[in-house]
This record gives sequence, C-alpha cells and structure tokens, in this order.
Amino acid sequence: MRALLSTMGAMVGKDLRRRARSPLATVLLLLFPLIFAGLIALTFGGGEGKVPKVRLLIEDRDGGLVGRLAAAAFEQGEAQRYFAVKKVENVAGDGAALLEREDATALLRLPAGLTDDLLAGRPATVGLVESPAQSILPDVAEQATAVLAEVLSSASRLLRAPLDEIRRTPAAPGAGPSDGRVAQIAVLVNGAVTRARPYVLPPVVTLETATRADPGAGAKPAGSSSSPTLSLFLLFLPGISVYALFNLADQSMRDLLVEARMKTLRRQLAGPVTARRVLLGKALATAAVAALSILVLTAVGAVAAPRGVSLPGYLSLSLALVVATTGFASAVFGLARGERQGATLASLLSLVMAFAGGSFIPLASLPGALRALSPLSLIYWATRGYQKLVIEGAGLPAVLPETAILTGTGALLLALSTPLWRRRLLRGDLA
Amino acid sequence: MIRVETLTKKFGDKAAVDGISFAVEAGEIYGFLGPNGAGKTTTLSMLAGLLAPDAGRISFDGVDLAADPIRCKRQLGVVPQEIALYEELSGLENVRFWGSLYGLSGRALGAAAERALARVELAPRARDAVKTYSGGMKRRLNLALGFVHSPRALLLDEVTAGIDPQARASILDVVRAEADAGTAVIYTTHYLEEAERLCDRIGIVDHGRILAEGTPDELKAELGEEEVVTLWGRFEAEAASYALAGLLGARVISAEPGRIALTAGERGAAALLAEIYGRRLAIDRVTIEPPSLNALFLRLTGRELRD
Repeated sequence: MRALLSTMGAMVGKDLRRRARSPLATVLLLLFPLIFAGLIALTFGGGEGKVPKVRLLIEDRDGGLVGRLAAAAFEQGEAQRYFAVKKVENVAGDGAALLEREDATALLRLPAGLTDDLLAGRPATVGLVESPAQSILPDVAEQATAVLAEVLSSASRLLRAPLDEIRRTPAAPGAGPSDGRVAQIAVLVNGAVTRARPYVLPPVVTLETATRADPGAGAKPAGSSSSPTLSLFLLFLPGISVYALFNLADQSMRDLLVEARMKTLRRQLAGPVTARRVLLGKALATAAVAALSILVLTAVGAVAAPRGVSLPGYLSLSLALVVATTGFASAVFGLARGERQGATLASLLSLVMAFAGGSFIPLASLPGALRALSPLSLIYWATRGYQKLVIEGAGLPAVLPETAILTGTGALLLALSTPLWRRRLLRGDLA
Repeated sequence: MIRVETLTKKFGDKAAVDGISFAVEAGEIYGFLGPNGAGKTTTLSMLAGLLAPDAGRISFDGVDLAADPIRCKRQLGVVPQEIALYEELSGLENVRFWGSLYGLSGRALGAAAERALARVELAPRARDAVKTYSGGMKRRLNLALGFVHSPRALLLDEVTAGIDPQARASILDVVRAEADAGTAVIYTTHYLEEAERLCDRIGIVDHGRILAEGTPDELKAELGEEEVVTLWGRFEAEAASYALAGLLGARVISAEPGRIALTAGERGAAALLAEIYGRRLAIDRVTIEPPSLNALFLRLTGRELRD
C-alpha cells in the first residue's frame, strides 16, 4: 500500500510540476470562464440606460377609462424600462410621417369608444403602426400590444357581470354610486376573480415554480440588490467554469497519449509498475488538476461576490465533478485512436454538453430538441448543482441528486475505460 | 544473470525474432550487433517486458519474466533509443522521478539521484530544465535514468545514436563503469568500433536470428588472418563471383550487382589484385581491410552493417 501511494505520489507530483512549468494552457483555460462570463455580464448586464427603448406614440381617441389604463400600462413598473411613451393627438393619415418625424418605433391607436365597447362586451380593435425604419423594436412593441389586447379581452370577459352593473349605474353629474351599489359591484368582482382563480393563477404560479426549479432559465440571482452585471456574471460563471474544467481534464488525460509520443510512457511501463497503476496515476493527476482549478475558480468567485455557500454541498458537488470530468476524459481518450482524434472528440463532446447544459445560453432559450438532451449532459448537472448552491443558496440535500449523477456517471466511465486503456497499453499500442 | 531461450516474436507471418538464445553474466557487456530491422529492438522490448513473446523464455537471476514481471523489472534498467525525458523538468527532477518509480525514496533517492547525475557529469546542470540541455547532455541524462536505481541488469538500445565522438566516449566510459560494478549489460548498436571497444561478447543478428556469437577476437578469428578486398564496378554479381572464386585461394564473402567482397587468399591482397586486373573486370574502386567485424558481418549477412 505504501509503495502504491509512493508511486502515485511521484506520478501526480511529476504531472503537476510539468503543468506548473508550462502553465500557459492551464491559465488560459482557467481564465476562459472568467473572461467569458465577464463579457456576457458586461454586454447584457451593464448600464440599464444602454438598453434601447421602444419609443411608442399613443393616440388615445377614446379618452375613457380603458384608454387611460392602456396608455398607463406602458409607463409603469418594468414596462417603463423598455418603453418611452409619448401621447399624440389628431394624427394625420396612417401615421407614417409622424413616426419618421418623431423617430418612433410604433404608433398605438386606441379608437374612440373603446371603453364603451369593452364595457358592453362588443368587439373592439386596437391599431398599431410600426416604423419600417427599425428592425427588432417594432416586434417588441407588437408583442407588448398583443399582450395588452389579450389582457383587455380577458378582463372584459371575466368581469362581464360587474361591468354590466357599472354600465347600468346612472352617471348623474356630481353624484357617485351609492355605497350599496359599490358593495354590490365589489362582491361581483370578487366572485368573478374567485371563480377564475384556478384557471388564471396557476399559470403564474407555474411560471414562478419553473423559474425556481430551473435557475438557468433566466432566474434572477439571489441578492438582487447586486448590480445586473455581477448577477449575470455569477449566473454564467458556474456553467462556463464547468465547461472549462472538462477541457482541463481532457487536456490532462490527453497527456497519456502525449507521453506515448514522448516515449516516456514506454519507459514507465518498462519499470516495475503495472499498466493499471500508470493509468491510475494519470487519472489522479487529472483529478488533482481539476480540483486545483475548482479551488482557483472558487477563490475568484468568492472575491467577486462573497456570499454564504453551503460548504458540504460545495465540496461534495466539486468532488463529484472531479470524478465526472476524469471519467469523461478517460473514456473519450480511451476510445480515441490517437491524440488528435481524442482532442477533437473531446472538444466536440464538451461543446455539445456545454450548449445542452446551458453553459452559454440559458436553458429556457434553447431549442426544444437541445433542451431535451440537457439531462444527458454532465455539464448540465454540474451547472445546475452550482447554481442551486451559489444562486439559490441551497444546501447539501438539494444537490445530492446532482452529486449522485455526476459521481455515478464519472465512476462508470472510469470503470468502462480502464480495460480499454489497459488493453492498449499491454498490446503495445502506446508503448 | 540474463537468460534468453528460444525467444520468438512474429508480426503477422514475419518472424521479427526467430528462436534467439543467449545468456549474459553479471559484469559482462553483451553486444547485440545488427542492421535496422534485424530484430534487436524487438528483442529488447521483450526483455523489458513491453512486448509479450510468442514463444521462448526470459529470466533474470533465475526469475521468469512472464511469471513475475514486477520483480524482474525491479532488477532491470532500460535506456531506450529515443530520448525519453520530461523536457519541462530539471535533470534532477527527472532522475528523482524515475528513481521513485523503482521504489527509492527519501535520502536514498536523493543520494542515488546525485550519484547518477555525477556519473554522467551533469551535476552542475542538475537543476536546469532539460529543454536547455544540448543533445549530448540529454543522451547522458537518458542513460542516467536507466541506472539511478542501481539495477543488476541494464538494457541499452542504441544509446549513442546521433551524438558527437566526445559525448559517445563519455557514455561508453559510463557503461563500462556500470559493468565493472557488476551489472549485466546488453548493448545494441550500429557502430562496429563501439562494439569492438566496449563489448565482452557480441551476437551478430540479422532477420531475427543470431548468426554468430563470441568475443570480438573470436569472431574476427573466424575470418582468419586474411585481409578483405572489396571491389566496386560495373559487373554482374554472379559473373564476378564465378570469375574470382578460388582465385589464388580467395573466398567470396559477399556479391551483389556492382560490388563484391572476398578474402585476399594465400598470396595476399596485392597478388590477388594483380590477378584480378588481368581478368578485365570493369572495376572503379577497391578497398583493402584487415580482418574486422565488418568483414565478418558482410560475410554472414551479405550486406554492410549500416545498409
């Protein structure tokens, strides 16, 4: 046992020293997630004022309650981040000239009698004129208006009974409805909302739940008081780091084939070590490189955004990731016929796993077919685990499934690839 | 110390090693002499446990290599033809790593590493990265890795390939010193003069077989005292052989289109050449050599060692 530990120690030490003497590749791979996540964060999270706004002109010919509500909808809450609204009157023709003059995105036309029509349950048409001079923003305006029309239609149908009551209430000048009428209408509204709750509220709840269960689907990172740039950095850092770790592990395992080319592998096998020990030594060196890389990335993440993360959860997930990356690299290079083929195969598979795992694009934005492949990606499970720990502040129990899947798959791949390597080593293919 | 019995290895239908047997005693340097493709490296690969023989037996100090490879390999040092070093590491780190693979550790490892580096005169550069070494220095370090653990048997495969005469002389001195310390050495080489100078016994190998074996003097004696005359020119091998065989007692050693080698015969090279010129052969060039391993090799294999 002591001899085995001594041999393994010598092999791992030798590989780590070699890596330390030629650190460029390792440093670049470690910098990659930091730079890439940083770039994404700066591009999409930096400076809200930089986000181009939809310049929306509203011509309110209705002048009633619904017209005012519709116009106000674009100027409140989240909408005001994306819309700059200007009210216009008496627009001539189709409004194209006005759009050009105002350099606006679209013109929303609320027709006269819109409030009456909705109260009466009659069909109403809302017009939108888009600027041909802009490309993406008019689509945003169109979709927002479609949502508005849908909301108005739903409200009209849902609140049919109270609306009828409101319509029947005599609008005597200077005199409001009696307390009894108000109470009657309020009861009707409450009843309508209560009846509709099972159908209206579940989708909202489902959306919330889906967002929580799938952090990669665009969830806002915990600690929303931090800047959007930092939040995006933390959102993307785990996925891209995991991808980089797979590449680092590939590089380490590839070293076995590099040693075959250098003839140092042949020399080792001429010594008193078995092929299995040589393979174990390389796998341990690969695991050591992955573990050290995780430490470095963790340190950077901790400096960038210090936050409480469950240490047991983090350690167990990281160990599982080390096993998974080592197993994956061992399997890929064990199957590959040569160094170049192995490198190509490893890069390709890692990249597919990274895309399917949501390293570069949030899972919710992926095409359905690719999203269906996500659970097959080791990067998906690792990223999901880290996002649970770092973003949601979850503990060890929450990441046990990810830990188990990564460890199990990694161990299985190692077990399957060991005979492949051993056969190649004993057959003399690599020596 | 080293026993090889009817060792055979085939690649497809071709026998790379064809029933070779030999033995090397402690303190002896056994030269394995042969051209490229003769089967030297395949034999050494089997001795190093890197390649499984199809037939035959290898033992080190009575221990069968197939039965207990790890025990055998602990007694063995291997220096490959290629420079197999970690260029990013220093000479000392390389020696220490290989020493640790053979079970050395702590002070014993440190002392062995220093001793090995001193023996190949690399102690002053021990802490420099190998990539800064010259070709000769790398060759010497390559050799040091083979004996850092003081093996009882040393397999050296063309260890002087491609280096200058000074570095070669230095390496040969180290090999001699290892043998004098009791190590059994198998030394493969292309260089006849090296084999003659260094080896206690030589096996001449070609096509996977040992064609002749003995001390350098014994092997040369097989040619007798006669000089070897080699003729180059524009002639057919068969016709030249027919014309010259038996001429003044000369024996044809080898014949091929444009070249024929023969012993000088009972009256010496000058008389033989005078007789040959009378035969109107179209000869361009003539060499006369004293009896040598090269001549023996030529006679045994029909080709020059470096062909």
